[in-house]
Amino acid sequence: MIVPYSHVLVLSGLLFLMGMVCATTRRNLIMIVVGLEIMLNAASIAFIGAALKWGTLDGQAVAIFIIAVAAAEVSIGLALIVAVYRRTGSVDPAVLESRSA
Amino acid sequence: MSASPLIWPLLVPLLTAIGLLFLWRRPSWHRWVGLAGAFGLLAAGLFLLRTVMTEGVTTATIGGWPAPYGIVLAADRLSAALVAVAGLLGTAVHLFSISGVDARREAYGYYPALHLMLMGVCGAFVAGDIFNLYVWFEVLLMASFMLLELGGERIQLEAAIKYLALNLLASAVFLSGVGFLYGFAGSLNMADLAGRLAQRGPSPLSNGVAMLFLLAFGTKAALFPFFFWLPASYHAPPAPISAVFAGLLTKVGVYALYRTFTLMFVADVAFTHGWLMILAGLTMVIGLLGAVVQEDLRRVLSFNLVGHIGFMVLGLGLFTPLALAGGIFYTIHDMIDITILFLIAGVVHRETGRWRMESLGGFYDRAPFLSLLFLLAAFSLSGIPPLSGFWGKLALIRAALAREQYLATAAALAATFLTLLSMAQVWEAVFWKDRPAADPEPADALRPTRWEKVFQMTPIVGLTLVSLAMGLFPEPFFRYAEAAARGLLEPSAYILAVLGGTP
Repeated sequence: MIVPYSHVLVLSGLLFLMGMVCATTRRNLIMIVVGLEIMLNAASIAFIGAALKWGTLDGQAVAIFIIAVAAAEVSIGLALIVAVYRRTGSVDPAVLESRSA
Repeated sequence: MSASPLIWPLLVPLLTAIGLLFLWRRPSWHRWVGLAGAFGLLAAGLFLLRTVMTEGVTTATIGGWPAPYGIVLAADRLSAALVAVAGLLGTAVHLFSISGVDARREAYGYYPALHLMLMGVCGAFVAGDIFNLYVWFEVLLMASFMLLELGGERIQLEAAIKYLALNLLASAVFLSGVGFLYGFAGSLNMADLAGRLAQRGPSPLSNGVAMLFLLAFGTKAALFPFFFWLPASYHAPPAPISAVFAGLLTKVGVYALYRTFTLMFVADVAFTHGWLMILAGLTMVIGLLGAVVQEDLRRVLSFNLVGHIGFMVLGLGLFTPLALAGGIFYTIHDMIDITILFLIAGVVHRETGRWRMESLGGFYDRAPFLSLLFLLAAFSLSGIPPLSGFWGKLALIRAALAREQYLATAAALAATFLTLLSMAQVWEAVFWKDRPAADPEPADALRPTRWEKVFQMTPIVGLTLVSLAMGLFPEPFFRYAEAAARGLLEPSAYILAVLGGTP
């Protein structure tokens, strides 16, 4: 394996943190979904690195599966965002906050 | 591939959902075809339960490829019992939906989504492979997103955003945990992983991965401090949807904790299970303190749901045979009981159009039988003997005392009293006090027709009978839970069954 596994893990960890910061701090629904997608990609990279380390194909199959699942998630997330935007004219999650619980 | 009893709990809801999608233009058929599918799932669940009880751990490899290469489904006693209860609750909620879901939601695919969600739940219960567990989680999550949003009311959109963002965050954490686990242990099959992790012994790396799993499943099971998405979203959709979410979805998280923390992360029990116990204690007390101060009927029930998750996880945290048996018994009891309470809340709302407890009242006058059913479910939840909640709590508290965990015992007892207080508040406000006179009946309050009443009451009465049976004749249920707990503590039979006899 040319690239050491630890390098792959560092890359994956950094991407995961970046995605997490993006998903938790941004006040824009689209950026939250983007952050979540980055976190899923970080996990895929960890899987592919591990697949190379063990010389099996499980990890790569899993990564392809993650792409499929992530696509389905994005379509639901974006549909929800479109519904919110039509109703409120904004993509700020705070505008939906109901005053009377 | 021979038709294993494990296939049916997945195939029946899938085929039902596909059939319903083909009938898209005839929404009036959905309820009946779907109901047949729900009964089919219940039958499949009971069949699986019987097979597991007579033959022990049942496995199936999809495509006939041997583990750890093929995808393995495996059911031990815990999985089989949960699949059977999922079938029961699915049938009950389906019956209730016939009168409780409006025609517009029906036309936009309520029943197909319900069946896809049931398939995801059953799949998660029988998955034998950790990545497969993730996929089933996503199946049930996507169907639940649809159920939560269906109808598109403002309150639902608000709830759906919180639910979606936090659950996907938990999924990403879960997936990274699986990635690291695969990276250092080299397998995805849970039974295979159990052997490999046992060989490596305790290490900071496996503890770190265990904490990632705890974070992910803790969020899905609504443990403290990750439960905030639950009371913020479960009050939004129509009553049957809240009921099925409350009864099934958080329990999938609890099941995942039970599976991973008895099979895989057992090398350093003092650390991992110590954390589980602390979180369980805090969940019980804080969840139920939340319930006492809420004013919306469904939020009260949501906080009760959160608090009682603590009892189930306490059983896992104590990690003795009695505690695990108590936890399993309590999980089954709570799934049935909390669904009854949410369904009764749905009936109350349907007849008054109100959720806030201050504007409700007089239900004892109006529907004495329903009030009696509520009282039974509420007492059972609080743990009044001889109802079903009592036996689970008794076993858990005895186990906590035997392990000399006095703080956990105190938390469990405090949570019991808080449940009683919260249920008494609901009883006083909704059933006992007079209706506020100055409050006219709103326009969307409906007097149900006779048939609608039948569909409303049948599931509530049926579930109450099951709950009563668990309370009055706890012996067979508890024996079963004890056997399931033994299977969790001695997973060699499970591992052997999954890996096909090769150690």
